[in-house]
Amino acid sequence: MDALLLSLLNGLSYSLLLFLLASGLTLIFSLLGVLNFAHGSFYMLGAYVAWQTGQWLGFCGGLLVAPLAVAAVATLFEVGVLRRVRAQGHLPELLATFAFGVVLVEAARLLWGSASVPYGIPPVLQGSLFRLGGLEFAAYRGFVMAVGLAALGAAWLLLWRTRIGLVVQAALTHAPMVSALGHNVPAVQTLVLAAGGALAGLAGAVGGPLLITEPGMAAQMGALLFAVIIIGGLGSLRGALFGALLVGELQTLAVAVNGSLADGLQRLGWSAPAGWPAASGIVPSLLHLDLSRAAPLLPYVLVVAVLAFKPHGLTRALGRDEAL
Amino acid sequence: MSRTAHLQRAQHASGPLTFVVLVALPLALPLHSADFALLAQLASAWLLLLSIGLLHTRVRLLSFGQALFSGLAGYAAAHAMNAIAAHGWPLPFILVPLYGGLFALTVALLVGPVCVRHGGLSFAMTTLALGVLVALLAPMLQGFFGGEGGVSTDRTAGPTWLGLNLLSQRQVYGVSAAYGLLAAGLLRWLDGTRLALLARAVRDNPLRAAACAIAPRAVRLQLLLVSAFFAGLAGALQTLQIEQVSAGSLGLQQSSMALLFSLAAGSGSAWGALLGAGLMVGSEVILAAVSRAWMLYVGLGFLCIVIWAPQGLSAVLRDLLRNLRAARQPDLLWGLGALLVCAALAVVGLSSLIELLYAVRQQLQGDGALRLYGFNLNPARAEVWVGAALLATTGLGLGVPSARMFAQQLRAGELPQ
Repeated sequence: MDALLLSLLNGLSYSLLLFLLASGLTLIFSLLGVLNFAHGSFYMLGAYVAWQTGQWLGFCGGLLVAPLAVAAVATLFEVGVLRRVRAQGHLPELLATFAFGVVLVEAARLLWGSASVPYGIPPVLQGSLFRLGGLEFAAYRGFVMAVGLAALGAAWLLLWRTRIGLVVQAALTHAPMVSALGHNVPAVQTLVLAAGGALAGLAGAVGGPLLITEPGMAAQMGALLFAVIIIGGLGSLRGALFGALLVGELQTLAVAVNGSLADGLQRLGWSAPAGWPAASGIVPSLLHLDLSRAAPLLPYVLVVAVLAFKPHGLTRALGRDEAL
Repeated sequence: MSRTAHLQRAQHASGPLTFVVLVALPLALPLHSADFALLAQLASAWLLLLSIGLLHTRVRLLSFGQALFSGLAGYAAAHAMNAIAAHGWPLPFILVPLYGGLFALTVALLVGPVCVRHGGLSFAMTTLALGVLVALLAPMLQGFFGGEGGVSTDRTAGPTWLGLNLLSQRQVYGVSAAYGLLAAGLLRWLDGTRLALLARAVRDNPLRAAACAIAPRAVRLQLLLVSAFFAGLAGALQTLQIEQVSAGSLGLQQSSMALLFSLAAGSGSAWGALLGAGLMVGSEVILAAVSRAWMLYVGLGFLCIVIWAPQGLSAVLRDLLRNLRAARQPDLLWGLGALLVCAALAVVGLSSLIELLYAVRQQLQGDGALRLYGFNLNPARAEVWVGAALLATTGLGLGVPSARMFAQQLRAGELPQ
């Protein structure tokens, strides 16, 4: 029971990390109408910048510089590229974000090499926060949770309690009207991309020591983020939270489970025929695949299952213009 | 009839013939085996890009999981070849790509109904998720996927048929080219059918099409089947060429690069796909052999294409050729030449900077010298960097105004349409 609780807590910290990324991605999609394929690269850049500046300024310095640096990069990209191609429709924008993601990953590879860098947990945050029935809850996971909650609280205040937040919210649904009222919608779009980039940079800075800091983290996280926001429903913040919780908890719980499909079926009273080989052949190897090994697959299984039954995600209703 | 319409009609009739001649021409040339290997790769890349371009231009569907079809067909082809060789069936290996195509078509028949329920992002994301799912699952499964190592095969183990034993790369290219022509013919036939018109209706307004009793899902599924068939041909041909298939051929990297090259080149037509395949093979094989920073160049190239040629390279080239032909001004050619020279200067300068940076950061220089464009350079010396920066700034500084001037000239010489 304690082990389950601890797994749930670990999953929660991972989910908050995912939500830091997914919330930015979803806001960018709602306001700019483009899926930001560079979001995983922003996350990777955040981790690298935090590691590099952390060597000069200490861990906290890296934590502060990374979001600012990524926000600056995102702003440059929005003003320099996205704004120029916006008139051509969404497809060039999507291509631009994809290409920019590739450029960022390769630039990181150029500057810091293809291997992972030793971005570790600072000594202060090592060790355990508390014990639960003999099992430790790592202090750094608690720190990730705290940072995630603080950043999301700040974002919530900014979005719901300030004037600029109200303009952003209005621009989400009624961009032409907001523009007609004299607000600078392109500037709001730049701001949202920068803010999403900053959140991704922060996620990279705190997620780097938890996971692994290497160029490949961009592609891995990028695909996972799409799974998260699709499960919840594109363009919905509530959906992004839902998706992040679902994916984070599911992956963390699956890693802790020791067993396979065959074990589960055996418990239900079904056993593989004696003639079946144990490991060779596609069906037996699928049945005997350990759930902890299959954990990275589960989000995508979930996406396909969700899209098969609710093509627009769990929380979002179909718009009239997209009914078919 | 105006002159341009006449010209267009003549082009329309001569296009396919030129294409066939161009595809068959290498077979008559005394090329090396490595050249034929490259050409065969070009043919399978062409098929893959055509399958993506077909979906995008005909029904406006973006497939992020095209490697699912090509990769699975590649596995199926490897298994088919191994089975034929093991059982001694009298089936020639040149039919294996066809089997791969049909296998991919079956896969599309299974997964298609889930994917095509809605167009737009829903389709893109479903194919992305399916592609990633299968790519992650494949190395974990034995049997069909052969675990981490994949499946290897031998293309010469089959029965000889019409003197084709597939031993030489020339024969492999011949088979690839034949399937390419088959696909091109199929595409041409398809564009004349009712399905192409229905697809256009579904692309432009699915709701209205549905109101006219056209089922958008059925139309999308049919196009997806054709596209999967092409992708399957591509995957099986790839297996025939490299005699090995592994989980890497299913990955998101494969799908997304193909999609990117397809969109950047504008590969709805045979010529556009040829341009895209040329760029893809050129960068993934030739550029990758020259520089370790090739992906960086590809990414930067895509950014440039998105900014300056958002409708796709082939459309821009076509417009340019038409305008050049219509304007008949010698000044235009000079302008184009100046632009190209400036672009070349900028590319040489920027790539030198990147290579120098790479050499310094990754300690690749070895004996202290870096070979760039035929020169031995020492990255530790400042004048090398200054020279490269100077080249890049000169190229960019002269290139931007000359591009502006060229665009003005083109616009001035445009025919009223």
